Amino acid sequence: MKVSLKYYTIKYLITILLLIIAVWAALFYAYILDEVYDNVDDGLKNRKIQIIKAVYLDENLLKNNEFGFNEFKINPISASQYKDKNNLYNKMYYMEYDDEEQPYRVLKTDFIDQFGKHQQLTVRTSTVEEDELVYDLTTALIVLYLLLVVSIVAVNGFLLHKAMRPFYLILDKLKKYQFGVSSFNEPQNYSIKEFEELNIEINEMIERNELVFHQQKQFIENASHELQTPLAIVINKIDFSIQNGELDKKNLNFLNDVKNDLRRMAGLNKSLLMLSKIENNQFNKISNVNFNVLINDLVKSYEDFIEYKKINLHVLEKEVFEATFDPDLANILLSNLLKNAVKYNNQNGIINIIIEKERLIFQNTGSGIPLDKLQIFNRFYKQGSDQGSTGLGLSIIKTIIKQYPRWNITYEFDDEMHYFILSKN
Amino acid sequence: MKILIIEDEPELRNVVQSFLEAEHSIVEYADDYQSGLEKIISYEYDCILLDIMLPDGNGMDLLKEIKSMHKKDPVIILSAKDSVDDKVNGLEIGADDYLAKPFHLAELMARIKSVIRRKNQDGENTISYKNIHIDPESRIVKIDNNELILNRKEYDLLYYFIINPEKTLQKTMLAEAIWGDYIDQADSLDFIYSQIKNLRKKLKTLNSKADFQAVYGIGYKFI
Repeated sequence: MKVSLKYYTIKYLITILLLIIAVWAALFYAYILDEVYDNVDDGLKNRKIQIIKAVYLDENLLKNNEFGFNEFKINPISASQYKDKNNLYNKMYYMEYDDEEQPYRVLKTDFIDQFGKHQQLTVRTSTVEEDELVYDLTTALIVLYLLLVVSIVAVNGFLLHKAMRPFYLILDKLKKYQFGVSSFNEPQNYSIKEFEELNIEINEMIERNELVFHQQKQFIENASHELQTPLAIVINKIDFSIQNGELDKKNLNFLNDVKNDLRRMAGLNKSLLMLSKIENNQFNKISNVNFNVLINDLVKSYEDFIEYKKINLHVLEKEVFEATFDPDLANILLSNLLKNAVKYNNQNGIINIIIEKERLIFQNTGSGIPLDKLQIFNRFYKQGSDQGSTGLGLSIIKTIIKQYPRWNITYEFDDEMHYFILSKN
Repeated sequence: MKILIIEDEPELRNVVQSFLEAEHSIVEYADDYQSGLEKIISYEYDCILLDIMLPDGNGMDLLKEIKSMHKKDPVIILSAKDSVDDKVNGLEIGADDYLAKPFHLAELMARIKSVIRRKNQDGENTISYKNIHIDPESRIVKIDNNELILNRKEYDLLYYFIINPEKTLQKTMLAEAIWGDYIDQADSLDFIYSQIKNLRKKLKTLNSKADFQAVYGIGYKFI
């Protein structure tokens, strides 16, 4: 799953923090606990000395064989059991007040009384309060952890927002970036060195890429352009041979075929030149174009061919389709669409041109097989073996549409009809 | 006709020159801006064919020079750059026509004859072949003295044959000359055939002495 930069850092901060605080808390807890028991043990050892001193003064205390309010007991032991060592441990004892077992710290030690007898002294002290301390400590640690997390999330969010602002600005600019439209040139003052560098690097990269791309397009344009002259020479030479009447029929036909192929090549070249000019933004006049008028004019220009093929053509003007467009491009666009609808139509076919406010629909009969939606707008795509086609007509349409953001062209096939739908906005 | 070709590409110049000379024109040429300018200053031509891209200058500038000298010589721009801007610019500066390379020689001939005719307003305006007479100004066609009513496309078609009589005109060339970019090569062939058939029928009704002769697979000759 993709998470934003903010959540990504927070995610790691929280887990790492949890680990560190847990380890730290465990160590802290152990240390404090150690300190607490140390204190308790010191108290017990002190009491031991005081009790033994008291036993020497008052032998009656030797009869204190059970824990009473004194919280100690003395039991006689045999000499073999005697160990000159303090034995400290925790043990649960029943407490009447709470009616349940409670934790105690116990000191067990042996001593020799004033009569030379071996005695075992057990001193205990309740550690209920100390347990509460540990409990409080844990609570404090958890609260501390939560507070830390909350404040880190807040600080992180704030810092990221502040520190990464240039990053988001750059990102935003990249999103809005359109090839050939330089919006990166305006100098930005980033207080963070890395972002300043990033911005500069991106600008340079874009400049380099645009330069390369521009050179590439220029190359295509120049190449097609340079090809026109030799093509013109060859075509005119063939023309001359055909015209001066010195050739027999066989050679005449042969040369005529060659010339036709060369004309096709010239046409291809012209289309390529046109594509590269559109892409190079050389059609950039802006005016308000009434597509209804243009379509009606074009239909008149194609009248002969429409009549010749006995095509039934209807222009259905539901509304006026107007747009700010380059007039030459609009002409090329509509003329290509109409030419397409005429050229690939059947004898006695149908063409419907439906003009809506935001849509132009070219609907025509033709081959009963739908075209490949994904490929028809690609350069040099031809359905089957189409001899007379350059395979660039629809690609020119698409390229023109690409010059206008928010415009779109789609192809549909429905009920034996081909639809080309041009829409704006 | 005296024609000046200003074109730096020798091969293209040669073929155009040979073609025009075969049509009984006197052809001179210049291969750069400077020599072109000298020739224009020194002589008068019936038509100047001007290339836009010259090794030492731009044909457009040369055109401006010609116009600033108030020379009346008709100019046809020949350009490899088939751009609308060039065309509009050229015509605005004062070129009489614009022909994009590659062009058909018959098309070039038709254009040359048109611009020369337009310049010679005072002279004989009708173009005639056998008993057919065309007045390009009013677009009236007469056979002997009877007017032949033609639609726009039929007239255009006939005009090309009258301008280039007894020449083999290729179907593709005719289609391009008359319908321009509106037609694709593949569609044009049968279409021209049906147009010629109609035109031939109309010519026959008025006893035209000229007729179309099919040159199989290539096009037609007007004889």
